[in-house]
Amino acid sequence: MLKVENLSKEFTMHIRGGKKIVTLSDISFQVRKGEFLGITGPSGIGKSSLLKCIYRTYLPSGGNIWYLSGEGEMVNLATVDDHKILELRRSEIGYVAQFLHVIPRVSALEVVSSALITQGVEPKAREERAKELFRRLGIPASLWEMYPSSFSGGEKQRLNIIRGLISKPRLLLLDEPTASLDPVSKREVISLIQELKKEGTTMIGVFHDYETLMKLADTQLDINLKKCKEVCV
Amino acid sequence: MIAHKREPVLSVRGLSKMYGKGCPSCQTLTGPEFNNNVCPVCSSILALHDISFDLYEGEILGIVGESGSGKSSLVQCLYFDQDATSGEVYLAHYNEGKDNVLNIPASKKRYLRNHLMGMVYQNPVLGLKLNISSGGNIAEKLLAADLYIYEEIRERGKKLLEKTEIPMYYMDEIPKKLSGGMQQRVQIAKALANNPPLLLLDEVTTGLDVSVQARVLDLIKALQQELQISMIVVSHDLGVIRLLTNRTLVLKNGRLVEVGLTDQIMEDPQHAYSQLLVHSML
Repeated sequence: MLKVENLSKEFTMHIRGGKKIVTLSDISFQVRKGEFLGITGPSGIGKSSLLKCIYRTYLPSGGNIWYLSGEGEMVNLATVDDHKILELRRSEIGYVAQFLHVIPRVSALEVVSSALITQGVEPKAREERAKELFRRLGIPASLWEMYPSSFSGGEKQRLNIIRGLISKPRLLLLDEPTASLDPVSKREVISLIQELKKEGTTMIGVFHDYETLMKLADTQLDINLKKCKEVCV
Repeated sequence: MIAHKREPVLSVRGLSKMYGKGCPSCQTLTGPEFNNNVCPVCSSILALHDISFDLYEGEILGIVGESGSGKSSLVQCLYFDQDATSGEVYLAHYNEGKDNVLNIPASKKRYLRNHLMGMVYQNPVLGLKLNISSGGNIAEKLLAADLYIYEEIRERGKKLLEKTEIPMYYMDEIPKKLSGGMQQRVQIAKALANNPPLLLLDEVTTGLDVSVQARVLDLIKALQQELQISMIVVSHDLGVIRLLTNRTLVLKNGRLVEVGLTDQIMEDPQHAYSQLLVHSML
């Protein structure tokens, strides 16, 4: 479903005299439909950059990212036009960032349920689904109508995960989704991800925590020293 | 499922705007590499040069750049406030996007402004008649869009004021007596009166205090979610662009230096000027 070929990412800092920073070079791997690929490696090796290249928040410097869409179209996410990327983000590719980018003056319930608007889900059904996930991940009802800017780090992270999972995307990119969670929330998040996987979502996740990786991933991609190798977990 | 057509609502090709007579050096001696859009030979100002982009249904496109980069000139050319010097503009809702609307007669341009577009200016003086009531301002736009029945005009006016969160008792009040934030709301209500598929917003929150700015931005975002209008948002404030838009054009000295997804422009800007702009954010 996803085939990454010789992917590289280099930043050219024009405002620092044209200094170049290489974060990814010659990365190749593939992910089958319904598979969970765990990405591991030390900090700063380019794990998050890899996810951002797939989501196209970063523009890849070289290589291809072939994605087989739900409509059976083979799309190169590295080069396809912005409109196609927006279309795929609306309908089938989700991304849970490392940190929640708080949207000002929008309640937690709205932050989460709005992820279902583009799928045409009715407002009442959107709210119900959001509340169900809030309950599962222990977000108290008193916070549902509050602005997430006032939430604790763990609450923000749970909200972030709920927002990413609620629309049940076809391909989900997870950047350290369980970091900063207490053991109970972590268990519940793992169980939610496992449920989504059973429903057929293909996932790529970045983890530092080997135990979580073992529970979720089918395959592991170790990006170390800018080299990668695929090993079965 | 909300349909997002693969056909653009608006297509702009090679749009240029020159103030002055121009000379062969205008194009070669101005632009970002010269950090200038004034021709050193003939002193003409090349406000926009060779701008091309597409806007799709339900999309919000941001236009950023420093003062004098051509942001406002661009939307003013699209709204026919100014005549573009050259280029092509196609609107999907006008003759199935077959005609370059820059070349159509003035009467047809008026038709497009009144039926297919809305514009909200930074300065309410440009978008409102400050000495006629808020309701009267909305009625003016509705009359121009061929709605002549008083009761219907009044009813539509009420609904628009309600949608833009303006208390009903302001309907018969002249905008001159309203606060800056309230005037912008009346402008937005007026711009939406004809249910336009395309809304242009030129620095609509500049000059408003922070809390008023936040409410106007929330209103625009809510209206866009509800009505799925395609919008072009001009702002020098990257916070506004990040909050509202899906894609962004970066202009400098009248040239388009970068276009991309808004999150990509914010996190991985490619052009030196875009990097400077992003790293200048507070």
